[in-house]
Amino acid sequence: MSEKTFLGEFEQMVLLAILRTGDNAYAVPIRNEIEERAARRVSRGALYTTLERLEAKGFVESRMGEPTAERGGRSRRTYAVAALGLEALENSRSAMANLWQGLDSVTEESQ
Amino acid sequence: MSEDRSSRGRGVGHRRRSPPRLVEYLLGSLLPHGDFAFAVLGDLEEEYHEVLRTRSGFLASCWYWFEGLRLVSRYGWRRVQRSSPGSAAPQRHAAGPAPTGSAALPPAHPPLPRGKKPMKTYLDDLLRDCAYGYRTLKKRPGFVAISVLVLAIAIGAVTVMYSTLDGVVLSPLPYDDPDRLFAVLSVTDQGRENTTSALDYYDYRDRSDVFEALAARCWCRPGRVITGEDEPERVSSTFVSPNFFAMFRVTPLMGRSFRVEEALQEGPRVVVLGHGYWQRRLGGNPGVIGTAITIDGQPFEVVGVLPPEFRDPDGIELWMPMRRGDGWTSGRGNNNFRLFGRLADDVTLEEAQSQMDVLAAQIAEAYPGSKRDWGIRLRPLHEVMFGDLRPAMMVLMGAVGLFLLIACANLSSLFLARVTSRHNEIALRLSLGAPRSAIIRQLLVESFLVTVAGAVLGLLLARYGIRAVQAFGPANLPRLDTLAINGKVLLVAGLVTVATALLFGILPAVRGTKVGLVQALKEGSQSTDTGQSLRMRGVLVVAQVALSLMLLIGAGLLIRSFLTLSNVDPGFEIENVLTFDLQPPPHQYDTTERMALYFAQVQEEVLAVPGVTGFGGVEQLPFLGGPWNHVWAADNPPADPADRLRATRRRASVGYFRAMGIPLIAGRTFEPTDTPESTRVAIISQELASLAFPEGNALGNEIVLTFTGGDPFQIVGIAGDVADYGLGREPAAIFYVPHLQFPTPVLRMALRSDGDPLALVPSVRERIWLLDSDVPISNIRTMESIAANSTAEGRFVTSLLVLFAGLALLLACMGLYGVLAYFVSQRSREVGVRMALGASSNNVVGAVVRRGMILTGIGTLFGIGGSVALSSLIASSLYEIGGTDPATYVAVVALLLLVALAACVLPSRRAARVDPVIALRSE
Repeated sequence: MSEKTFLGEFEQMVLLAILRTGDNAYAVPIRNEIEERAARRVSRGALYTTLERLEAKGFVESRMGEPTAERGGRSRRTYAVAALGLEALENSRSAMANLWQGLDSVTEESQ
Repeated sequence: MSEDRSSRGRGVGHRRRSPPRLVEYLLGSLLPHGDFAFAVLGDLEEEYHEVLRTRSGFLASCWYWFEGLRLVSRYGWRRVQRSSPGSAAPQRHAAGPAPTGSAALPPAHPPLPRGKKPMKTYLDDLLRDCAYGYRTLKKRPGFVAISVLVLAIAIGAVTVMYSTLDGVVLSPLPYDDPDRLFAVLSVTDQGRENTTSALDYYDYRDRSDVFEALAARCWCRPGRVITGEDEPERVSSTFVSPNFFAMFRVTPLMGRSFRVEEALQEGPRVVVLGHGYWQRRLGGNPGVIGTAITIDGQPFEVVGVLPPEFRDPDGIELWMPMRRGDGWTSGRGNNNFRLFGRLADDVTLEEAQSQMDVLAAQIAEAYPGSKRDWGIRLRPLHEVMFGDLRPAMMVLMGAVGLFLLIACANLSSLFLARVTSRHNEIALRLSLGAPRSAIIRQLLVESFLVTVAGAVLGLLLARYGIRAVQAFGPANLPRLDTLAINGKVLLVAGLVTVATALLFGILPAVRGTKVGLVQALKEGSQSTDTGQSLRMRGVLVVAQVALSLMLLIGAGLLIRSFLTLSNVDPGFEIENVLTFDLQPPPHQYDTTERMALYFAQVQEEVLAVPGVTGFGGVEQLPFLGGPWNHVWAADNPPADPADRLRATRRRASVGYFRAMGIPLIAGRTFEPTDTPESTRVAIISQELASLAFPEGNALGNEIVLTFTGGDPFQIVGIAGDVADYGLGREPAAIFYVPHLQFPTPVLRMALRSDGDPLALVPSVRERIWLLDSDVPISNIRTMESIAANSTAEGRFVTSLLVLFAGLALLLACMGLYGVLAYFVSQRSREVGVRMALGASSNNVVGAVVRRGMILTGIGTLFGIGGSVALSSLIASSLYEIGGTDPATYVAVVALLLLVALAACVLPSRRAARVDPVIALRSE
């Protein structure tokens, strides 16, 4: 088997949130997206750390936007999922899907 | 760019606020540099503005502080980790809740690896303790919240009080070398401090050599009418010696101070303007020097403008040179001036005082008529200006200190309870080899974390507290607007924080690690050693009750004193009286006849206004002090000038007594027939009558009043006593003379109405201005507000003390409740047994209440003892009751016992509801 890259659970969430947000994906909407969709509390520090890590691994790319007065004259850092990241995402998803196969009933019964 | 839409077109009222700078700066320095930091700060500020927009500024600041500090702790921690190589790997959490249970223990002390510096280890350990402490505290948010709140109130209160003390009392005067500045006061033959006459001043100035400069300033504040504008304005002025500003080393903003020739009798008319007046009325016109303004109908040349920093506490806006030979400066016995001196460089206070004593003796000998046995005294200017505020501020600082101690005892008890419940965790760590000191340190760190959080919140509260003090504090508190949380205050707050954390944290930390190891492990999850901890908490409750009682007694005494003071009969009827100053410009009313006519017309007009039941004028209103003269009975002049009586002088118009509601004991009041041509008449107060005419034959007799020389006046009436120097002082000896016979340029009018006097202001004003629109009406206030002002300081101190005492009582009761509830929960099994064996619920309730009241009783005894011991400290602030007034003590103790009883009953009811079966089953 070749060296596939996989993602941690939170890393997956972040990437998916970036994809959902689309253009202008910076920390604030990314966090909101995860909190709403996944119903999960996200600390800002954890998010920034993960974004840094993802960028270091080449899964996302960032660029600086225009400064606005609302941000005290500072620019936004927006993220986009890179090809490497899409690949890792797909790997993780199919891995999970394969493992889940045939087990859908397990979670239903335990209710 | 689409993202820009948020920054433009915002609502009209949106202020561009910025997030708290301190947190921003911290983050900026801790985050990895460059774009990343920029982006994070930008995101945070964006969300801050969102909170600001949807909620409030205060919440937005709190939010920013909270989120900012979270990020700070995360990135700060990372920074530290990166900078200490080889330190044990920190707990790595995924973004989720911390693991629970025993896995939350910090890693055991790591074996010392290759060549580490001990300092770094210690720092590492401390930071690890912080992280661990934070996680542990996070599990008990309620406990933390209460502790932080209590600390915030206590530390906030200390901060506000210290800031007030520092700003109002301790701060040095804003002049160069302020400790070389002295007030030079005359001392009368009866030992009282007094003002000095100009002639004395000239002598002192010419003959002494111990001062770099000796200056004088008139105590008078004549209102000057400035005409030439639409509304005539009346502005306070005073006279000063030419070296007055130079003595304070104040250089005028523009122009110059006075020259010596301007202080001569026929010198040119010059004036120096206060900065406020220059800005307000002359629009800050830079070309004002050399121009003339019309004061009281005469042109005065403006020679200087003072800098904005020179603010006069009396509100003087026009400064004129004191001129030899005019009314204020003539007469050896006309003590109209206050003297100030700056000591020369190499002169000590003792040297200066002795030289001045010699000079004073010379003057006393040369002028026995007015200055026999008078002396002189030098006092530091700072003390004279702010000294008598000290006692009140000290009372407040003491109260705040007591409150802080109570808070410490309370928190100690809380933390003790918490530590007791962690016995097993601690026992486990001890058995794993952790040194006791490490655990103590970790527990202390927890106390520190809570205290620091409390301090931060407390500082935030203190900002609002200071604003409240500025808004509600007595108006006569000087420099109130300079209060701020400056470096000194922060330092004190920091020291208090550290001391508090140590004070309340040491006990639980030490006690908590005294566990019988084996015992703890044997008994599994049950708590042990509750007996000792219960006793300890009982001691803390006793301390809290004792200290709270002391605060309560202090508050009770002040309340009682204040109520007594408020009920003192001032000698006239305060309600429904309006006062205002009327000052006909002297250049238009230059003869007595003109002035008399004017006031008579005003009287007629005003009395015709519906609702007015009395109207008259007087030279100075009650409560505001005023000029005095020597007096004596005409047929019984005192042989010794030292035996002469002193009485306050009041020139009053027709209708004054009626307007003020001063009762007439005998004779008559002034009539329009008391003119300058008729006999000189006077009305004296009852006090003066009994002093000057002890046989009671005052009416019809003659009295000598020295303000016109030695002519006798006929006494035509005796008036009731008036509290002229303020409520709570002895009744003053007063003499009244008719205004018509001795006119003054300004008269303070008193108007009595049958309803709310303020409602009559517009119609009265209109009528007066119809007569002459050039006459300014100023200082419109009700007599009630003047009376209230005179007690404002006492009210302020009392209210604050009541606040602290109330909070302290609350804390003490919480402590009592906590101890009893704990007691009940620990003894639930025993209670169950008792009830199963037939004890009624009443017995159980009784046992708990009894225990609680015993604690309260012991605390009360200590509290009474402490109050008695400190009673002398508060006695000086009390009016007519002693520091150990029994009635107050009894009432306060009763209140405390009642409230404590309530605090005892609650947990005892819970005890009574214990189901014996369940209790027994829990074995």
